[in-house]
Amino acid sequence: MAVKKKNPFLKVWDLLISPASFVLVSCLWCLDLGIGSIIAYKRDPKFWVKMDSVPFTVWMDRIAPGELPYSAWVYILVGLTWVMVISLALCTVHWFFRRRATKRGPAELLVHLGFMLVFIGFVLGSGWGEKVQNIQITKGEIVDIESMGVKLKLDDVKRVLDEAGNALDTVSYVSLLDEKGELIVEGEAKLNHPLIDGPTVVYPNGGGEAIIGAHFSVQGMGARSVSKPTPLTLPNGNTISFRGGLEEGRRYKNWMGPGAYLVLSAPDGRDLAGAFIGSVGVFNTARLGNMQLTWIGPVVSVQAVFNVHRDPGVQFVLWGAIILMLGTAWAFFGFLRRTQ
Amino acid sequence: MLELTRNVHYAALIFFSIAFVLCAIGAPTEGSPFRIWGRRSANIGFILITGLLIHRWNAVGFLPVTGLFSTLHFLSIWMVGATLYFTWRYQAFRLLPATLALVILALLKASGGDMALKPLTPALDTPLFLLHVSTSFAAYGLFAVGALISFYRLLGLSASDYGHERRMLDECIYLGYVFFSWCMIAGSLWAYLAWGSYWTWRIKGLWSTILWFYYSGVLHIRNRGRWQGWPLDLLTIAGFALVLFTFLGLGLLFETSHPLN
Repeated sequence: MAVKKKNPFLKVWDLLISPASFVLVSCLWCLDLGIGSIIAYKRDPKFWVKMDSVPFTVWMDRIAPGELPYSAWVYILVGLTWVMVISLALCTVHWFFRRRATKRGPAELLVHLGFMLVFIGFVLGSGWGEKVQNIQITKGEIVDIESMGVKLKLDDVKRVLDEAGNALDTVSYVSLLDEKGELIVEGEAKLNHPLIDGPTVVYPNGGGEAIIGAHFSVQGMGARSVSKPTPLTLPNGNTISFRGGLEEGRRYKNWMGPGAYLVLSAPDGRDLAGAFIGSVGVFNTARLGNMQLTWIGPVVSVQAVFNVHRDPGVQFVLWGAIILMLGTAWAFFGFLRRTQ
Repeated sequence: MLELTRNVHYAALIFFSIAFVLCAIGAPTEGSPFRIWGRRSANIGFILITGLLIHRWNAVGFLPVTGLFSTLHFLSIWMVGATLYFTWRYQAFRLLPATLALVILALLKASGGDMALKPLTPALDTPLFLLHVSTSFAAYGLFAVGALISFYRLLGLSASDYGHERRMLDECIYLGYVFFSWCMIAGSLWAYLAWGSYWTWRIKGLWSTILWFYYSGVLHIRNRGRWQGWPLDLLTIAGFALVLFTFLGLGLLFETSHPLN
């Protein structure tokens, strides 16, 4: 009797939906991620911080090429992940043809669907998401987040301290505005409780007191103050503006805080000169143009720090998580029932 | 509280040690008084560490599993709990000495940790923390017991009077995987709310994902004919090595988001 040859298409199909294929790809995936992550950590413990600070595709396009060959494992990981997801998708399709009659099937189907939705969400978030981090805002200030077409306003901020005075949390009341300044959403943002507007989420990332200006004396003019955003106008029409502050204990290049960087500008807006003044000896006095400035003290305000993320795939991920939860719960109770 | 914690901890260690000796002598023999008293002693140890956890939980108002001491205690509860359940369900008395040896090691390691209760940081003050931690240790405990069963099988030893090793192994892998899935889901949701992203490229999260995918693979092949026997046992033991590295190795040797020091 002649043995009927199997259709080559079916052979490929069987290979693709075979659990062994999935296991092989899983093993390669685990090996690649495991070895790659250890090498990356040993080379630079802050490697992950850099990866987390921008959307994944931006990291892949702009940062990872400069880290080659140490970032090669991430490209391999992406390839293997696509293969795994294709395997998952085909197994799910297979389920519709072969296994839908069994009671166990729906649990497996839900778990596979959940994984795929999470993956779709991850791809959307990586490709079309946006991350803006360490946005420092003082109370009442509005910061333009151009890349997202929104503005963030800090309405109020309170610090939560423990008995020893250590900061535990920063509770902020923030408003998200559109480009025209119209309110989109407002509310409280604190740890485990970000301000959410669809795919856009405002996360608190600490806070504290910030130097937003300086008190100083100008030889022949007496004491003056300047703080952002309003510059100090001099009798000749020039202005002195505050461009940045260093809090106590912080350093930037050779400058040591507390201090402020001030800039002298012409009436037409051109910058003429800049100088850093502060309380540490050598920075106590400084020349700004033809003026002699002497540091008196900082202008301080409470500030909060935020990360704003926009992830267009997050709804897929959340639904994927819910479906995964349902699938695993179904599997769990089904398993208990079967083993009783 | 510190004094009580220390006393109960060492009392539990003593009861588990007695149980280990008694079970090591009498576990293979059905009806042996050593085995009966061994299990009783293990039961007392289990009640002590579970009672201590409930008492500390009640005292601080949150599940106290944030340091080396508390996490190893919590892991021990799941390991002993799962094995005692198997002794009740499948007469798996012979598994007790191995589990107790592992638990004694864990509790001895825990003795070096800080036993004091620390206030909960705001980042951990969420019900997702409870779900994330309790399910992760349930999974770790089941994976550990599964590895012990596989170890018995590899050595040709019997863990259950009824010969139900395969069934117990299946329960450990399947239920452990379900618990670990819940742990990953809760952890991702929590990370989304607390740190702005459900996925972060941090070493703890990466290795937890490796563990999850590893057991996904084991789950897919556990009933396939050619993987029965020693291949499945080796995979289960390797899986527990992965658990140990993800839980203890990373927590103690690396700078992670889940420090144990």
